[in-house]
This record gives sequence, C-alpha cells and structure tokens, in this order.
Amino acid sequence: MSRSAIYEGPKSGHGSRGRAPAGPGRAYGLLARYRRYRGPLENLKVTREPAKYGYAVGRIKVREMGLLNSQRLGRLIEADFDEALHILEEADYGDYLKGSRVASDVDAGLMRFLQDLYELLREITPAGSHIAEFLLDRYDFHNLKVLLKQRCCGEQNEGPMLDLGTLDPEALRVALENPAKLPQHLVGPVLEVLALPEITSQWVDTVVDRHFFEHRLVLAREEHSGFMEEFARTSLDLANIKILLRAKNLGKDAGFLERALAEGGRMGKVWMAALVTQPAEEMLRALGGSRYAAGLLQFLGVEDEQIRLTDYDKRADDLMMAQLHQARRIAVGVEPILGYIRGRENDVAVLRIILMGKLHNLSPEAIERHVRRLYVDKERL
Amino acid sequence: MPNTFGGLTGFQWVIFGAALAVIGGGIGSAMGITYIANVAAGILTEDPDKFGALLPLIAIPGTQGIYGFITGILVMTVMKPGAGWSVLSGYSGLLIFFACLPVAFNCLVSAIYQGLTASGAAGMVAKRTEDAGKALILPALVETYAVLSLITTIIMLIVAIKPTITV
Repeated sequence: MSRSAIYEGPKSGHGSRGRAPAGPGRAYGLLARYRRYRGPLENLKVTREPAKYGYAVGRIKVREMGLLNSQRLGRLIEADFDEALHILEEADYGDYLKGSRVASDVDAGLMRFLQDLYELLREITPAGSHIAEFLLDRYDFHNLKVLLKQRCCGEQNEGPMLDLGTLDPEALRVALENPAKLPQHLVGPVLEVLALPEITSQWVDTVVDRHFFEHRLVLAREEHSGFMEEFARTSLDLANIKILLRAKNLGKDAGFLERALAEGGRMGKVWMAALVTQPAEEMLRALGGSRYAAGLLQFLGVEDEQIRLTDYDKRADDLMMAQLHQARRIAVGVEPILGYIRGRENDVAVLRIILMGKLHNLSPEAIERHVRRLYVDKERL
Repeated sequence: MPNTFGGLTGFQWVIFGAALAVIGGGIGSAMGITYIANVAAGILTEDPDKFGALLPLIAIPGTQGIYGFITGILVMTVMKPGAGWSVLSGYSGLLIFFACLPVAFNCLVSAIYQGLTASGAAGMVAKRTEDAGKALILPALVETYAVLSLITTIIMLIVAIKPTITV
C-alpha cells in the first residue's frame, strides 16, 4: 500500500480531483528531505531502532503490566466508588487516587498521574527522537488556543491551561506578546489567527487545530516512522471528517472547509470540501468508500438533513486504539512507546468516565456504554 | 620465495581470512549484545530482580564472537605448516581464506538478528519471569546457524585444506 495514496472518492469522481498539498513551506522542505533519505534509512531501520529505543522499550515493557485490562475494567464497572479505588491499587493508579472523595480529587489525581507519565516519557526518550514532542505537542496547541481566545476574543472561561506540554504555559503567554519568540511551529497559527478579518473563538480552534495536525504529521515524517505517520494521518482524517460533518449540519460552504480542513490525510482536502454541497445521504455514501466506513461512518444516521454525531468521538477513539494495537506486535522501536503512552492516556480517560459515573450514581450499564476500548484489550469494539 | 595467488602470499591470505572471521563474529556479537543489553537495562531499571533471568539472553549473541575467535586461533595455529608459513602456497592460503568465510559472514549476520530476537524475548521476561526458559529458546534457534557455520569452517579447514599444505 502506497503511503502517499490519497482517497478522493470512487473512480466515478466526486468534485475536484486536483490536489497539491499547500501546507507550510517548512513542512514541504522536511517532506522532500524525508523522501530523499527514506530508502536507505528504512533499510537500516531494523538495526537502528533497537539501539535507539531499546532502553525505553525495556522500561515500558515492565510498566505495561500496570495497564488496565478487560478483567480489571469489568470489576471497576461493577464496583462502588471505594471498591474501585481499591482495585486501582493493582494497576499503578491507586497512589494517585487514594483518598479521593469528589470529582476535583479524581481530576487532580489523574492529572498528577499524567504529569509523572510524561516525565517518564521525557526521561526515556533518546536524543534525536521526536516521540515526546509528537505526543505532548497537543497541550502546547491547547494552551495556545486558550491564550489566543483570551487575547483576541476576550474570553476568560475557556478552561485552564495545561502544564503537560513541551512548553511552560507562562513562558508561552510571554512569548505570545512577541510571536517572533515563539517556537517555529507555533508562529504559523498565531500569525494566521491575527490576520483573520474577524477573530472568533471557533476560528481560533479551527486554525490552531489544523496547524496541530499538520505539524504532527511533519514530526512523524522526521522520525521516519511509518507507524507514527499512519497514526498522525488517521487522527488527521478523523478530525477532518468531524469538521466536515459538523459543517454540513451548520450549513457551511466549501470555502469554509478549504480553510478549515488539514492537509496530509488519506482523504483529499479539495474532494472533502466539495462533498459539503451534496445532500447528507450522498455525502455519507461518498465517505463510505473510505477506510473509515467500517466501525465509524456506518453508524452515522441522517435525520432532516442533519447528521447524528452521537458516539462519533467514542468510535473515533476506538478506531485509533485499534490501530495502536499493531504496536504491540513490534518488539523494539518507537511504536511500543507510542502505544504505551497512548494506552495510559486512554486508561486515564476510561478511569475518569468510570469514577465520575460512580460519583454521580450512574448504573454499571450506563457507564459501560461510554467506556473506550482498552490498549491491552482486543476483544471489545 | 613462496608463490602468490592474486598478488598475495599464502600467509597473507591466511591472515586475511583469520582477521575476517574474528572481525565478522566480533562486530555481530557487539551489535547483538548492544541491542539486547539496551532493552535489559530498561527492564532492570524497573525491576532489578530480573537480572538472573535476563543474563542468558544478554550473553547469547556473544557466542558468535567466540566462534570467530576460535576460527582465528584455529587458522593461525593448527593450519601452520610444519616448515613454517613461508612454504604455504598462495593457492593453499586462498583455500584457507575461503574456509573462514562461513564464520565471518554467518556470525556477523546471525549475531545481529539474535540480538534482535533476544530483545523481543526480553519483553516476555519483563512481564513474566517464569517464562525466561521459553524466552531463551527463541534466540537459541538463531544460534543453530552460527554453529553450523563454525562446523562447516572447521570441516573445510581440516578435511579439504590440511592435506594440501602438508604435501
């Protein structure tokens, strides 16, 4: 399968086929360099990766034993809140959640766990690897969105900044006063937002998210990891599909989508943007030819020209987790690290759903409906 | 003056072959051990009690270096003609050189891949120490081909080449 294959609908054609990624110039330079050196580097990968990532993989292989599995998950769902905390002591989470009584305690405990997890990631990441940046950059982009909304839209309640990324949030706040001091990958979104004729909260989200997905793809290519690139492309595609579906529901035009959709996914941007002009049923049928039909798009329904997006996020997360399962078949390399960190993040999301559900007296059945697929569990979905 | 083959004397061919065997096996073992030792270091950082279970996995890619060393010693001592290296013809030296090649190349490649296999097997030990025995079997299978190359090299040296240098 060609990595550069772009899905632009069935051969009968839908809309424009002309595509030429028009991402940032830096991304193009890196992509060209990547393509030029990819052959020989790929050939050496089998011996390069174990030397580079061996230590990190050794560390996480032991820690993988603490991940949630389906057996623990079943017990957690059935248990009451206190019993659930007791069960979590078997899975590395107990110390962080001990003594939790209310939702803020749970959130604080899980946040401390993530901080320690990312500290471990920084510690084991070898020099020259982009895996930490690849996994943590999203917090920088999140913080950037918060700051831009505060500065340009006057919003003060966009949620707290998260001290989990590669940049100190306060340093980012200071650097935003002079965009030239920002890291190169954050300059683009800031300048683009500031150049908007009308800066709204929605446009800040749209522009920054697009830059985030495109930047992550560049990082994956710089890492020369087909697995990371595939992961970045899939998440980019899923975000693009969600934008398209929401744009259809809101009656947006193709022009909006051409500015909102990110470049570099498996599905052509121009082709996707053109779909918004079609009836909802037609649009879903056209998207149904893509690799995301099974497990995601087939569950979407249409009612009065409105596409129901219920469960879209959960199914998209499950799809990503299914892709990450392939990392468990690779003995040594960047893949098991990516899989482990994402697996832990997924555990945190699952724990939050379960514990919040317990605190709000939801039934086990109701909680189970919202629980995501686990990294170590292949049976669900 | 001993006759030469390809511009090299018999002794020069012998030195070339012995060096290649030692270098091939040595490089392979060094790389293989590096791979598994990196993984083992990570596992031991988390759980030092697994040292005993991991040690055989770390050591096993080192055998190819020993095979290369054995070949080098064998060539430089047993193959030496009674009247000294000066009587060894260029053609005989070339045969000894060729006899060194199975170990030189096979040990280079098999040690690297054995290190990779051992790295994967170490993941089993990381999760279940009691599986250390099973985990050792996997890289040990790769060892088979290094052993076969050593046997082949020895047979080639003794059966095919030794008579030619005693004539």
